Formats: sequence, C-alpha cells, structure tokens
Amino acid sequence: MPHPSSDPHLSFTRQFVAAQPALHGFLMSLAHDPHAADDLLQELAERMWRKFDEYDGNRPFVAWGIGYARLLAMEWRRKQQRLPLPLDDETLDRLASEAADDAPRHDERLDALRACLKGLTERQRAVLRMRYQESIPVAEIAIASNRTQMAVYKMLKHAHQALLICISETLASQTP
Amino acid sequence: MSEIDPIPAIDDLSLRILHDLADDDERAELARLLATSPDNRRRFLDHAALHGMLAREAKAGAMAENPHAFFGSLEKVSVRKTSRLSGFWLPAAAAVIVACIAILTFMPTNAMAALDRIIAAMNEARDRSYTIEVINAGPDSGASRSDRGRFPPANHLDGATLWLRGPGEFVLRQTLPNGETRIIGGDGTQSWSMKGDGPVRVSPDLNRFGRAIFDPNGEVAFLDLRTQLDQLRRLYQIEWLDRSSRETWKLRGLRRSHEQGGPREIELWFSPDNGLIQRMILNQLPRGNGGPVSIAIILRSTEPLAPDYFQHTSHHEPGRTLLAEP
Repeated sequence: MPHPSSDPHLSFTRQFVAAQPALHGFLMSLAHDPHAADDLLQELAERMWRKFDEYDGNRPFVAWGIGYARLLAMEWRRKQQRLPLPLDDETLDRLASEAADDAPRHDERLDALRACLKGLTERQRAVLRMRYQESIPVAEIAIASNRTQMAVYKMLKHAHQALLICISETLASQTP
Repeated sequence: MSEIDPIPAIDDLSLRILHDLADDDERAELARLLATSPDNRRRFLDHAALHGMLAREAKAGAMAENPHAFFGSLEKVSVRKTSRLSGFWLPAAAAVIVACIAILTFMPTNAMAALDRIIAAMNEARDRSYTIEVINAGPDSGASRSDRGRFPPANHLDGATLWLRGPGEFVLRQTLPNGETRIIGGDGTQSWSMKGDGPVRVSPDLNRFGRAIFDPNGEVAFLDLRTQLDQLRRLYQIEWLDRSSRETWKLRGLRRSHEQGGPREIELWFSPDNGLIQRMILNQLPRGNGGPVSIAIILRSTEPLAPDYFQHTSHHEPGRTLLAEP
C-alpha cells in the first residue's frame, strides 16, 4: 500500500482535502442539491477512510474517490422519496460517467470561476451571495428586495450565463 | 466578459431545477432532454458544477460582502416608484429602508459582539456541568463501529456528562453499552482516560483522548468548547435566531467552508446577562469516526466542583495503574 506519507491518517487527510472540491462537484452533478452534496461528502470521507488501506497510491486519489462517490450518490437517490430531477438509470449512468470525465479539470474550473467572479457586477455578486452564502430561496430574495421572483431569477440566470461563458473562454485560452 | 446569447431551454430548465423553482412538467422535460442528447447532459453538468462551486465559494466568503449593492438599487427604485406617496408615507418608507439596511449592516456585528461575550464568559474559570444528548445518531451508528479501536468510540454519547472549568480542564463521563463507565478528562496540563477498572492512560497532549470524531484538523468538536467557540468566531457565518426573551438569546453559526472541520451548523442559547451557554446544538458533525450527526449540550449546573475534580485521581481509587504516553 504505497502512501505518500507514512502516517495513513495524515496522508488520507491531505489527499482528501485536496480532492474535496472535485468530489463535491461530482456528487453535485448526481444529487443536484448543494446541501445533499455536502452531506454525501461527509459520508464519502467516512467510507473512503474505512477503505483507505485498499487504496493504490499509484492511482489518482480523485478517481479512486469517484468510484465510491458514484455508489454513494446512487444509494442516496434510491432512498429519496422525491428527487429534484427524476432520471432513469441509463441517463443517470451516462451523467455519472460524463461527470467523472470532468472531475480531473475541476480545479482549473474553480480557478477560472474565482477570476470570473470579479467580472460580475456588484449587484450580481450580491444576489449570488444572498442565494448561495445565505442560502436564501429565490422567493424570499424577491420579497426582501421588493422585486418579482422572475426578476431575481433572471438576475441569477444572467450571472450564471456570464460565468459559464467566462469559464469556458478562460479554459479554452489555457489549452495549448 | 463576452456578450450573453439568448438563453436556450436546457439552460433555463437546468437553472430552474437547481434553484428549486421547477414544476413537475419542467422536471419531466429536463429529464427527457438529458436522456436524448449528450450536448444537453454536458450543459446540465456545466450548470450543476457551477451551482456547486458557487455554493462552496460563497460559503468560503468569496462573494460580494456588500448586500447594499443589491438593496441600494432597491432604494432608488423605491423612491422613484413611490413618488406619488404622501408627505407622511415618504419618510416612513425611507425609515423602513434605512432600518433594513441598518439591520443588514449591524446585525452581524452585534451577533459577533454577543459571541465575544460568550467566549469571555467561557474563559472565566467557572465550573459548569452539561449533559450531552444525541439528537441524531446518524446512519450506521451501531455498536460495531465501537470495535474499530480508535479512541474513543464517538457513539454512546447520549446521556454523557461534561464538566468544564478553565482552559484544558474538562471531564467527560460516558456509560458504554456493556455498563462500563469511560471517563476522559484534562486538568490543563495533561489529558487522561480510563475505562471501567482498567489502567489510567495519561498524555501530555490535551486532545489525545478527546478526538472523538474524525476531523481533518484533529480538533475536538465538543469537549473543548473554547476552541469550538473560537472556531465559531473565525470560520462561521454568525446570525441571530432569537432575541425576544430576556432570559435567553439564540445565535446560529453556519460553517463557511468545507476546507475547515467542525460541525456544519452550531446553535447557541445563552444568557444575555452573563454570556453563560445554556444550550448548544452541533449539527452535521464530521462523521469519519462514526459519531453522531447532531448533539445537544445542555447546561445542568453551575455549582462549584472540588478543586482537584479535573485530575484523574479524583475519579478512581488510589493505586490504579498509570500508563503514561510520551
């Protein structure tokens, strides 16, 4: 069992912390809910730690974790009475495979996102903050700001759209 | 950034799902689109990934700190829209807007000041005893987890008693399923642990026996309330939940980042007069060591304890074997 560090606890912790964003992103692509992805990530840490003595250190840690994350997300979906998105098994499998292909580039996307956030307007950042940092539902943001739900949703939509374009352009410019 | 194109249906549906705005027809339509086209799946995954990254980045504090950017524009819109209001209503409406902005500006500061007061109260060498109640044991919390040899089994906390005094001074007494009592503690200079009538293990590492729950930072989630409160101040978004009573106020902290350990949410009930914690709920604890998901720590007494209560010798008969760790 070749671990980078002789202390398995330290080695696991170091690698899991580094892999967390990519694993969270993968879980998010199957759970479609950040809070559920958070919970699953905690469960995933526990499961991977239990199996860490089976980990082959020559294999990328993220790829190893995604195997468990996929099983965990599927188990979670089976237990839900109501899912944000009803998908058949075949579509879900395809989605999981395509999300797994994306995972290695997650860190680059995150770096791009951080840069792209600076290009948003103050108002866009503020509404994103309310939605994501404070976890305020769109309907409540609308009430608090005396706007329609549709107006708030459109602000979020345009911010998303701008970020996706910016991230895509940033990644394209980095590709040799 | 580039000019934004008209938004296609897949984008709209993806976002409506992710923001929990979609109705059943829209869910079904998105499921159909994802089943039929890899391009649609690609686009949906882009949105889902962005949604997840934004949630994580926002919790880590990467978003605009100034909500006035949003509400400030509201103020202008409101004045424009209310220009037909009477002379009485205009100042009233303005006062409401100013009050809203003031609350948004000052509320976190006051909550933080209240937290500082709680921390100051915790730093007083005052004896307190708390009962721990497991609110949510979590899945897979059976006894088999206790056989894994790591220290100590984090389950079986329900009904445990925690005594606290000054920094590093704590005693936690748990009753295990076999009826034995496990006691771990610290006297400020060393920590110690004993189970049943077995030997007393002693360590100069104050957290050695308190690492009840797996945590990447190796910190003790609930035995060391000072560390917990300090983390609450540094790593959590603090907000008021309730200040309607004279006896008890309530704060909530939401962890900003996943990169840090600790429970995801902490609720604190405390006395506004003296900052004494009356009740603390730790939700979504890290569970790598199989501990509970949520626990409550409830104040039972502030009666003074014996001066040597936090030394292990107060909890066993003389002559017990000591195993000193380096």
